[in-house]
Amino acid sequence: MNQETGPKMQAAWAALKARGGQEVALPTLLPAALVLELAGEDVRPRLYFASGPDGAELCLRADLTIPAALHYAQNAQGDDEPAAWVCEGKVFRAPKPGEDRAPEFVQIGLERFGDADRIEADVTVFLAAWEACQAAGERNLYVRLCDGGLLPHIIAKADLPDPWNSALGEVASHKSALKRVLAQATGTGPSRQISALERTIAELDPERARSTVAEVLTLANLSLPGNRQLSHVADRLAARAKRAIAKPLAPELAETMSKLIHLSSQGSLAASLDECVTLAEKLGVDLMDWRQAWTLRLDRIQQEAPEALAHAHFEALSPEAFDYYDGMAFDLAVDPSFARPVATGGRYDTLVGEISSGARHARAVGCVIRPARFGGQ
Amino acid sequence: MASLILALPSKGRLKEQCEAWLAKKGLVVRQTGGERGYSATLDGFDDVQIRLASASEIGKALLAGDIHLGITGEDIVREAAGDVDARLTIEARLGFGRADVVVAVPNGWIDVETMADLAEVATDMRRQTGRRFRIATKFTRLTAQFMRDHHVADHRIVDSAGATEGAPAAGIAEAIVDITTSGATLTANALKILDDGVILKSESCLMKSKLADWNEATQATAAQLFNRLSLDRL
Repeated sequence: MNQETGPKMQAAWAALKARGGQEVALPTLLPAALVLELAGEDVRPRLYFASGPDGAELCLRADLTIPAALHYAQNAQGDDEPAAWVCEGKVFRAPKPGEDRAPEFVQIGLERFGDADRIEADVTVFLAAWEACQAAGERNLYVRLCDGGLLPHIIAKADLPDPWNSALGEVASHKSALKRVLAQATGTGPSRQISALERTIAELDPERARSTVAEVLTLANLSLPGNRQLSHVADRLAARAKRAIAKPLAPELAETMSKLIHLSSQGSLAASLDECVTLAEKLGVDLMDWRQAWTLRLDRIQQEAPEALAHAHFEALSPEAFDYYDGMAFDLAVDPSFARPVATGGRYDTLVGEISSGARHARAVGCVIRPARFGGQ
Repeated sequence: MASLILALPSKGRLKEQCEAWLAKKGLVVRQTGGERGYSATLDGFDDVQIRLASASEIGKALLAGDIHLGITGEDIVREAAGDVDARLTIEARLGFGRADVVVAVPNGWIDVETMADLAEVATDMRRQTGRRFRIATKFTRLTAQFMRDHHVADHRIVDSAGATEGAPAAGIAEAIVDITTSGATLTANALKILDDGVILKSESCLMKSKLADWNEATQATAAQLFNRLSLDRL
């Protein structure tokens, strides 16, 4: 252990454990395909790969969350079986070009599964991360709070005209895809000519559209191997044509959507949350329950660590890099750009299901702390 | 005195094309160990040591600075490292060994013509099946970068050792990234190239390693050689 971070890390570790949890040793070697499937190809340049004697492609863990969710999926006796784990260990991530740091570093973390009270679990994990950083002497931290579930919820409930409601709903949890579809919806995206075939298909019922596409493929001797079936091609052709000929989204609706996507006020938390409520209202969505849940979270944090919210702000979407966070998410950083957070965490209720191909499901929330970044390093 | 090391492809059509290109400039390569040897000399250039190696080994050696000059495909070096331009320069494009690195999908995907379509299909597929869209390729680095540039988020690269064009039919992947010269192999496998799906137009190039041990003598030899090859740059 690094002399510099040693005592600080011990203090952080003790603070994390004080929030409760069983010490668990997580797997270091993971199936590479699983990690890439969950975290996406963007992590590939950061991963260290290894081959098993049987030819299996493995990789060293690049975080603690995926191995924790995997360990849970393999060991839990039932859905939502409660568990609270503290874990400590090295993770392996190749530095980006020009980045000056070791390729392996220690993370400590808390992962909670199956808590019936989501809000209380969110608060416990946030406080654990905050207290661990405080114990290590990290003062004046900036806090970024996000909600990965907010946009999908709003879009699902919003009064948006066809076909934009379904087009936006399909990409609601993807920041870049959401921006792309919104650009199409407002007529500011790249416009395209549609073919006579597309125009015809857009006006047919789905069944007729599929048989028309089947005829076209047969006549032109085109083949459709693999997982994409005729229905996928026909449905998408129709959806694409409908979007191309649809009336653009009304400017006020588009502006409201855009404000929500980009909402990142540095002002008071309450004002940001209220702004979300007001914007959602313009789309016909009542966010009072959501607002109430955030009030409860913030009140509970305020009770136990009033200084934690001194430099906090709220963003509507969680950063793209962590697309498995589907609820509350947070970063704690020395620098307000949040480029090198000392702690990150959030809710990932769908991850256990994805890891186990649906065999196991569990509500989950967790955090990790990077002791090597203590002291502004 | 350390001599200048020039690496050339050791076999096949590429070897013949390199030798023909040099011969056109009046330079004759003589293999020292016979037809199967892996070193050679260049007539009139006693200070040049020729190494015969596979195209991928030449690429690696150029990037590592183990050789001064080499002829290999641009696709090979661009796939092998991310910071190619910091490690080598392309001195001449030789007009042979042409191959495009392209993104291809089944020709029955009549709703997919561009990379933007591919990005949408990838997102749809993950939402519908919970699985990422798979792209089979041996060009994992080039593919990952190209997909990032075109905002294709929900994909996964499946490493393909060979017969990549058969991957969609075999159910191993939905799309492929592969090299093509005429497109005939893709067509034969019922695949089509996306309109904006050309990742790299590659050909064989004479490359100079920036990291090799360049001293006065090797610089001078390279200058003479480039002069003979009618290349004014060094």
